Formats: sequence, structure tokens, C-alpha cells
Amino acid sequence: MRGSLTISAIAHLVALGMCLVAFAAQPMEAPATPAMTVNTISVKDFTELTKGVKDAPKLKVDDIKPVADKIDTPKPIDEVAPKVADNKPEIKTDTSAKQQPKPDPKPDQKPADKPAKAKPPDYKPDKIADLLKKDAAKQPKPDDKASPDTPPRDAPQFNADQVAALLDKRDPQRQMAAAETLNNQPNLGASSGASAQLSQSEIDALRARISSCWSPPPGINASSKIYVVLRVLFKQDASMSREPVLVEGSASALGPALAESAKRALLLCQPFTMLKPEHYDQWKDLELKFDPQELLGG
Amino acid sequence: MPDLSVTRRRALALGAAAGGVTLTARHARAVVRLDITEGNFQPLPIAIPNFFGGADSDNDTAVGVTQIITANLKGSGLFLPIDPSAFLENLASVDTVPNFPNWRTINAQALVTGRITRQSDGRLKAEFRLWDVLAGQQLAGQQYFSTPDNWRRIAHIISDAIYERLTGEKGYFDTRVVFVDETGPKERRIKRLAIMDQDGANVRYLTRGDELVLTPRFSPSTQEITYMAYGQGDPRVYLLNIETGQREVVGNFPGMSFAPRFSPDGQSVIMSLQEGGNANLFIMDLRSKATTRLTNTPAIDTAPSYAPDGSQICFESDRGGHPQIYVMPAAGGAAQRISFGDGTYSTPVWSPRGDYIAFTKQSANSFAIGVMKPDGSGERILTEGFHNEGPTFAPNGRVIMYFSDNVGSPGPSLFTIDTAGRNQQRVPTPSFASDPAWSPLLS
Repeated sequence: MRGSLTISAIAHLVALGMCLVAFAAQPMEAPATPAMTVNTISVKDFTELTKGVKDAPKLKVDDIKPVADKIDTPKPIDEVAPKVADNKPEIKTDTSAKQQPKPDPKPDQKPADKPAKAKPPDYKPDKIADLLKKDAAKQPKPDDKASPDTPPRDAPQFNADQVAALLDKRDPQRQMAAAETLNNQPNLGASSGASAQLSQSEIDALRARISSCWSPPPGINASSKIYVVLRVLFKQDASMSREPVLVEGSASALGPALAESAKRALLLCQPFTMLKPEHYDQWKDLELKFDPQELLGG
Repeated sequence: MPDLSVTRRRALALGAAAGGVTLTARHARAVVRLDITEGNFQPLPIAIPNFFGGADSDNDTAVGVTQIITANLKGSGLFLPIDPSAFLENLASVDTVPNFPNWRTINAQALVTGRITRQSDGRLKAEFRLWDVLAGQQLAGQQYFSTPDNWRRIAHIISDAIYERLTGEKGYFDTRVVFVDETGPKERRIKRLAIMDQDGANVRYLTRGDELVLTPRFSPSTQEITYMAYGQGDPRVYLLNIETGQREVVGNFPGMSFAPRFSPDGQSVIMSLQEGGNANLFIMDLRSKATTRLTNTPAIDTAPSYAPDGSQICFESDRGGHPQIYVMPAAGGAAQRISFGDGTYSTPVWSPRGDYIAFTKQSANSFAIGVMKPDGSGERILTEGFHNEGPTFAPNGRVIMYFSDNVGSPGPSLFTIDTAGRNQQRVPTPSFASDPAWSPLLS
């Protein structure tokens, strides 16, 4: 009994050990999802199109206007009564009032969480986040009202003359934000929103910059079928913290020259200032695959 | 004997330890991988300050070596030597580590330093270092010893070492070119075989000029040239030893023999022999003098060229009506046509890298030099002009030399162009020149 238990325990441990070794953590190959563009346009052209004008006026904090849907005395949204102006006291609006204070502490914490910012952006995230949260908190209310209404209605008996009686006579629930000028443009958005990912435009800009700096060895052309993968670690200021390391490559006589030309391109082009500091976690460790597929001639 | 019994406590401890190991296993994170598929080929900016002279008497040689290296690298079209007047740092010696920020400021990506010293035993010592300015490291360093009058060859060897280290391909600077030197008026041209360094220096004449000579070709392994000469009577194929000057006829065949080339092992010569109104390909072993027939067609088969691995031959034949290029196994057999463009194709040459066949293409009003893959696909024209002809590959397969007779000019000249069609350059020759053939690397 003891002997078989020993053997069983040892066998289990050996199996566990082998699993740990064999199924070692491998990087999940996240396939690059291509942007849904119909036109074929080169990376460089796309970035040129979207990079904007250098001498455009810089947006200052004071220029950021709150959303305003009607012209009236300026009434910041947080003063607007969240309650429903309604005769039918069916809906509890207290829940909406409760929702609002919660988002407030979050934007305040966010700027503190990011010590990495070398130059903090000019806009105040908490102010904008407030506006957004309050806006969002108001939106669902008409939907909430709709569902309790349907049971009292007499569904099968529809009298066309009584359509007027069926109309919802309540006051509009969403209070329109008022200010001195109309402004229904959305503003910059909170940095704590879901878009804190390395954006496609940053990737495009990085690839375009590296491509412009990369002078591949002359013996290589599009049919060479060779490639190298370099691993690059970046510091906060988007310069490399150490020399790029070759992690993968096809075996060929021109491989070392290709790897060196890739390293030279990276050394020449750093720092890569198009990478945003707030996305540092996304780009601090990158693998760059230099693959001369689109080179011409040879 | 220790107590190895498995108690419940021990089993639990083992299990906990195993579980603890799993906790320390690394968290698998997907590393972002980006593809860089486009590049922007630019010549590499390289700084080549004058080599040091070990003693003052060596300074002239040092400057000469520097100039040859600079001219070689610039002429290849792959490097951009930086003007010496822009240099910020004056290096003390070849052994000191350069101050790389000084060189980065002038946009150099590579730096070459060197020294030439005449030794006490009369030999010349040449040393150089190649630095990567961006990474701040030495990439290569070598020392060479030779006789003093070989200083040009040392410069070419150093150029090859730099070229190979930075591009990954073998260089082609330490090579020679044999060609037909033409002098005199057009109606009474004197043609002599001549040999020179690939940059046009050290020209030496191999024949006297009393007979017409054509299509000289280098042996891949020995210091021999094969060529065709109109002696007394029919044109014959000859072998000439460059060093001794000794000459012998290759086979004594009835009729004309022409368009000779060596096999890749240098042991046989393949050529075209005239039979009546036709010409067919024959191989002759140079040791045993045994002759083997390769083609037997009622057509003119000529200009044969071996693939570098010796398994196939490409040649020109008009069996289909007009001269076209065919590929055939080296031992003979069915020949397959590979040229299908508009015009006639002639003088095929197989690249030493095996990836291209260069040819002369003649269409309605122009001659062109082009390359195609050995299966006939990917045809590209590199240069067009009046009477461009006779391509020959450099030993690294990247540069082609040919001769061209421009309209109105009294004679042909030699030109080089790379296989991408870039960087066309004229090769300086003492007089008019035609029919070039590039030697293998001398070292």
C-alpha cells in the first residue's frame, strides 16, 4: 500500500513536471487584425493623410467647451435636476442620482496612477469624465421608462382615434445642456476610457518611420524569402534601453546582413516619439519582424 | 536507511510544493509583433579618413590606398563616402577607439581606419579596422602582408573585406578584366588582347595585334585565358597562359572553332565548331584532349555558358529560325528554349550565383542588355543603346560589364551596371575596348 502510494505520488510529480516543461508558456500569437479599409493605400500615405497639419491651433483647456444643445443661460449639467418631470410617479429616479457620484472619484485617481507622463496633457480629465458620465447616466432613463409602460397598455384593442390618448405626454426626460453657444461636438474623451490601447495609427506611424529608416542589404529582393525578428525594449522616452536582440530568423547567407541593417535602422531612427507615453505598457516590449516582402526588383 | 515511508503529511507537503511550482510559472503574455515589410534603400554613408603611414615615407602609399578604397566603394553604388573636409575628429592612430558621436554628427554609419607600414624585411604591412558608428563597435579588423608593388591589390582586398562585412555579399574588387583593346582607324582596326585590374589600372597587352582576336574568357581555376583568333586560315580557339605567355591551340578541327568558354572546374573547354553551314557545340577535355559532341542540329549553336554548378549549359541557337537562348543538361540532351520576348537573343552568360542569365537582345532598332531567370521568367532589360553587347558577370553576380558602341563615337567602350539596373559607369581603358570578361576573385 505504501509502496504503491509512493510510486503513484512520484509518477504524478514526474507527470506534472513534464507538463510544466513541455507546455511552457508561449506567447499567444495574436493575429494582427487588419484595419477595415477598402482602398489599398500604403502605410506611409495613410499616416500622411491622418497626421494633420503641424501649424493647426493648439487646443487649450479653456477652449474645451461643454456639450450644449440649446442656447440658454449657461447651465452646467450637474445642476440639472435628474428627476423625471412626470405625472405618473411610476419610475424611481433615485437610482440615477446614486449612479452619478460613483464615477467621480475614478477620474481623480487616474492621473495619479500614471506617473510615467513626462508632460501631462493640458486638459483636465476629471472635468470631461464628469460630463461624460453624467451624460451617460441620463441616457438610459427614457428606456427605463418605456418598459414599465407597456403592461398597462391595452395591446389588442387599438383605436386609431385614441392615438392621441396613447401618446406619451411626459416631459422630455433628458435635460438639455444649455450654454451660451451651441456645441454638439464631442470632446476629447477620457483617457480612462476603453481606448487606452496602442492605436492603429500609432502602429502605422511606427512602421512608417522604421520603413523610412531601413536600408535593406542590396542583395535582397522580394523573392528572397528571408526575414529576421528583433526584440526591442524601450525606455519611457521611446528610445531603446539596449541593443535590439535577434530572436528569430530564416537561415540564409544574407541573414546577418539583414539583421544588421535592421538594427542600424532602429539605432538611426530612435527615439520613436510617435508612441504615446500613456500606452507605454503596450509598446515597451515589441517584436519587429523585418520581412522584405514589398521590396521592388532585385 | 532513512524513513521513506509516505505519510499523509509528506504527501500533502509534496502536493503543496508541486502546487507552489505552478504558481511561479511565468504568466504568458502576448508580445506585440509588428511587420516591417518596406524599406528605403540608400547607399550607406561611410567615412574613410586617410590611412596612416607607419613612417613618413609610407604616407603616399597610405593616401593611394585610401583613394582606391574610396573609389571602389563609391563605384559600387552601395556606399556613399563622406567628404573628408566634413570630418570632425582627427584620429591619433589606427589603434585608438574613435569618438563615435563626432562621426554620428556628420551622419556616418560606418568608419574605416587603417595604417600602411613598410617592414624592415621589405614587405608592406597593411592593417585596417571597420567600425559601426551607430552601435559604437568594431565590425572587422585585418592585417595583410605583401610586396610593396602589390599595394593596389591590398587596397582592393581591403575594399572587398569592407564590402562583404557590410552587405553580406562577397566583393568583386580584387579581380581583373580581360578584353580586346582596339586601336587605329575603323577600317584597319588593330585588336589586341589586354588584361587590367577591374578599376582600369595596370593594363598589360597579351598579344601583339597581328591577328584579329575575339571573345577572351578566363579560366575559373588557373591563370589561363581561352580566346578565338583569326590566324592563318580558319579562326581557331587558343589557350594562353597569362603568366608565362605560352599559347596552344585547343584542338585541330577542320573548319572554324569559336565562342570558347571554360567549364566550372577549369578542366575542359566548351566551344562551337563549324560543320558545313552549321555550328554545333563540343566539349574538349584539356588533359586527355578527348572531344565530345553536345548538339547535332542543322542550325548554328554557339555562345555556350555553363551554370556555376556545372549541371546545365545555356547557349544561343537559331534552330527555331532566329537566335534564341536555350538551356540543356551539361552532358547533352534535349534543349529547352527560355527566351520568348520580342527580338533576337544572343550571347547568354550564366551568373556565378546561378540566379540569372544575362543576354544581349536585339529588337527593331536597338540593342539591350538584360537578365532573366534560368527558367526564362522575370526578364528585365538593364540598359538599352546602340550596339550594347557582350555581358559578363562580376564574380559576386551583382554587377555586369558590357561594351557599347554609341552612335557617332569612333569606337566601343566598356561599361558596368548592376543587376538592378542601377549605377551605370564607364570603365576607363587606354583606347577603345570590347568583349570584356571578368576574372574570378584573385584571392
